[in-house]
Amino acid sequence: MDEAILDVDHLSIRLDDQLIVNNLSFHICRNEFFCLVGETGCGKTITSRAIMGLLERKMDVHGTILLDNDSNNLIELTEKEWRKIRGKKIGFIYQQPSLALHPMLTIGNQMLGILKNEKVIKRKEAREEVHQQLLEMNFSNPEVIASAYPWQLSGGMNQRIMIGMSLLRKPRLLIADEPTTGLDTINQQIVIRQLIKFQEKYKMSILLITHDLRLVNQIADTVAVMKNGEIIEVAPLSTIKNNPQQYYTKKLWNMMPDAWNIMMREESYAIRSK
Amino acid sequence: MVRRIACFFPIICLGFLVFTIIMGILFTPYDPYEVNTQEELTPPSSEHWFGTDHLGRDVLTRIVFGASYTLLFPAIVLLLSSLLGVVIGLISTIGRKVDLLTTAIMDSFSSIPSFLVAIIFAGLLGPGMVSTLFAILVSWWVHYARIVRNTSMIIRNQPFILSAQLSGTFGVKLIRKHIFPNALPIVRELIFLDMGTIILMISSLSFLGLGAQPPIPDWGGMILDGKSYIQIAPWVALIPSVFITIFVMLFYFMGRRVQ
Repeated sequence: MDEAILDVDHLSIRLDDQLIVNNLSFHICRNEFFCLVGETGCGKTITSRAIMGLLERKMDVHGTILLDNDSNNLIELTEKEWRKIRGKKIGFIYQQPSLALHPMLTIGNQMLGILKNEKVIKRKEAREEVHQQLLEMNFSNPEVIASAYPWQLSGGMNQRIMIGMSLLRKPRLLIADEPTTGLDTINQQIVIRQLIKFQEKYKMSILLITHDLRLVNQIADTVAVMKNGEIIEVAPLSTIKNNPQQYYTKKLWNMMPDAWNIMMREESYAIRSK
Repeated sequence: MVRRIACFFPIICLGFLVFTIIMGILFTPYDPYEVNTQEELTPPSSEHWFGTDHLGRDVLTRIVFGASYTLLFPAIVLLLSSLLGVVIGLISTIGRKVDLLTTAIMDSFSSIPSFLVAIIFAGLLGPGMVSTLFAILVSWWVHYARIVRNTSMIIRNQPFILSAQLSGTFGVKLIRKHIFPNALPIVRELIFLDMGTIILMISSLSFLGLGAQPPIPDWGGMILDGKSYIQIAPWVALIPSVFITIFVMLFYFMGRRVQ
């Protein structure tokens, strides 16, 4: 757990004269579930996009982002170098899963396309692998799902498919930008369980960006609290919960209903210890 | 039920007319090019349903044979110009600089009136089908290029394009597999809507003597032939005009339906 897979150091993002993200520093360890929480508009998504190299050109980015003990600063990479990292080393999951899937291709074909981009593979083998992955994602009928179009499936199903698809390339770090927005509580739980399961299986780190504290309480190892473009507190979940250093963290934490905490925490412990 | 029939009405009409035309080509007893000085400008009768023109040629037969020029040729022109437009529209999505260049080209081409181009090409190559083709191609591909470019720009910012990039698809493959299929439906709609306009354009070019040359039985050219006799034999000019009107209307209704 100690080896850092992502090291963000003094990251500042500026648009015109406005400082959007100010002097951000944190690191994510191997096999860690790292949660970035904060209110809407505090710069969480911008930070995740900076890590993915997806910011618009007019934004002024300073600082260093190091991935996996590589000496290259991600901020200085060219578009061509990014192609080897985006998706391959850093996976990404969106807020709107239904928009993130190609509307005119079946799920199976989209997954086949990823495998074909990845390696030379026979069609039959690739199809086998896709079915395997769909089974892995807890779909009991992979044939039906593989021949369905994204608009025929629900948001929760699409999000699970997105997770499965980004994992086909076996990234070391998965950035999930509010993956449960717009899903009902049951589907949220399904998606989150999927994430936990895959994290265990592939030994990867997850950076979860969210404003849903119930989820944070349920799964986080480390929590970073953001406010107005700054990280005001980074600590393990237990510290954040029991002994917050900042008044804002305490206030944020008190927003959450209690009964839910206890129930969900126990349940996910049960999943993780399996 | 009535509504349903109304929906399919243009398609049924079009199908019926195309069927009649094919039957006509197969079974007509007359030659569309044969001059018969005995029967100049005879009015419609049981022998010549639509009468004959100033050279004694059967108007119905010429309409039937001319249909292949007046209907197939615009389809070819449309396909070519939409192909060109789609290709250039997609090229402009490659990058910002390429986009600036292609947009400038589109703007300059869209300011050229097609009739002028037709006259220039008629001067260079001689009037005929080829110069008509070029004239319409030059002015018409811009419509498609613009639409495809704008749609592709919108599609490019959709999340699924980014997720395609995340799954390792770049460059030409990204455009071909992800942007193009999503831009295609709009082009398909436009082709149907434009068909009537193109028929009208080609017919008017022929009417001006810039399009298909006699003795090709193009409908626009037939109106030109009949123009001089409109007082004594109105059917020669009137019947091709009616046919052009019917087809333009049918294509327009069909385009609306496809939309």
